[in-house]
Amino acid sequence: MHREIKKSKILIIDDNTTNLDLMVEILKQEEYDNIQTLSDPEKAFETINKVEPDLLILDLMMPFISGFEILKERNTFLNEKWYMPIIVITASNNPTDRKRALNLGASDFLTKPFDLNEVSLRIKNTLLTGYLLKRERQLTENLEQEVIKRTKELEEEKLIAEKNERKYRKLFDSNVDAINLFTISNGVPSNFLESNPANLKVLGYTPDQLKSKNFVDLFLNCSKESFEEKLTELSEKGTTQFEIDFNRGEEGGKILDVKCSIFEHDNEEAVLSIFRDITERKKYINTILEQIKLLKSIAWTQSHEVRAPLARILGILNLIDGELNKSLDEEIRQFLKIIKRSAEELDEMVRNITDQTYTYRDLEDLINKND
Amino acid sequence: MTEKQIHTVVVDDDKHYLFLHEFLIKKSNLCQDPVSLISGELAKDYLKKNYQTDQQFLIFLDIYMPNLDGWAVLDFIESSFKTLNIKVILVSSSVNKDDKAKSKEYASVIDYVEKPLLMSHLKDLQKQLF
Repeated sequence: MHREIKKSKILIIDDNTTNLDLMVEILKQEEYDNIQTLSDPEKAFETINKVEPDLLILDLMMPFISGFEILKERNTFLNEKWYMPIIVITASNNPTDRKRALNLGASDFLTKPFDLNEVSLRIKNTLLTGYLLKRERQLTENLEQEVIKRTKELEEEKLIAEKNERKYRKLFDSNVDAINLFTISNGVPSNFLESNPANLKVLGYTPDQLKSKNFVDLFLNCSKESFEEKLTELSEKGTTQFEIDFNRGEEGGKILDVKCSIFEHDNEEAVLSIFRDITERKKYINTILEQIKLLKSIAWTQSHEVRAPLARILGILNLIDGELNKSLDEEIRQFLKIIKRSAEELDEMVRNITDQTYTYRDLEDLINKND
Repeated sequence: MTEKQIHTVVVDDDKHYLFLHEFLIKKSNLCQDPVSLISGELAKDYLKKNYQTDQQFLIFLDIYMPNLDGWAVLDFIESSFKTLNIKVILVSSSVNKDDKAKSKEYASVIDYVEKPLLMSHLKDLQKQLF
């Protein structure tokens, strides 16, 4: 702070150059290093405006334009951002002038002849006040800017939030799965709080109708035991998923895939529940499973039916090749070998086909597990 | 135990197999007078008529037969008689692993042979039984 003050821009206006020199000398002693002087009071306004000093030391008694006139006019040339205290120099024997100058807005006064200590202290105090004032203004200004910046940020955030809300609302409204929100307290589900339009197609209820229903009401026709099990799983694990046969009388039965998850909403446990109609998908899967079953049976029956006569041939061939071999001549033995090898090849093929049925079975298991 | 006391029975719906198996059984000296039966029903009737607790029975049984299949014959055997004196060898053209696994569930089944039945099978069996 001390250094800041010593760097202050000081302008001295006095028609008496001896006085000017004296004042400059005093200030230099006090280590002020930005001092400018003016001895022609007619150029006072022009110089003040050009220099924009942090402190003006002004002699009251000058020809053409007196210090009083400069004091009177100060408001016309000082702008808001620029604070310039004025210390006036008066003759010691003139208290009226001093009072008049202070009334006109002078910050302080110095009396001639100068007392060095007094000059030094008054200048320092005035500059210090100016410095503190300037700093306070700066802080206020920073604070104001911060407030403006934060307000702008909040407005932008609000816009983004509104945009997001519209976006999520759109996702919610246009989703083909039925989505419903409700809360749970002590294991009892509340009526549905929010429902999307897809509910009409999937569950057969409009969002308005669902406002007077809860999760359990939807599945009154279903096995109660397994249903309660799912609700327990939901509260313990935070999520649950199950398939359920959903029947609403007039329409045919549907198979629904139900996914629920708990999330925190306004300090309550809320549940997001998604209902997907998987009736069609189930139908396709069942068709695939039936086809696999059919393929399996074809592969199995064919392999078995082909293998029965083949094993007969192999049995007789083995018999001839073993027990009766000695009575055969060499040529026949060679033919026998070829026939046996061919029958074994056929047998290998049949076994491979049978092995294929295990692949079908694995496929069946995979589909049943994933579905 | 002498050879005479073992009643050897071959059950198969395919008459060619009956012929072949009978031939092999005689040739291997396992038994000189095996009984050949062409259906599950006949096997059931034969056992009903001839079963005696002090006699031994060795049955070569086919699995895939119309009407009463090999599994049904086995179910009948295990629910009606003491299985200690009836021993069954399943002889099937099936190479299905499930069939082989299922055969282990029957106490009376001592072996599972994928057709063709070979002389070597019968020689091994002879060592095992006598």
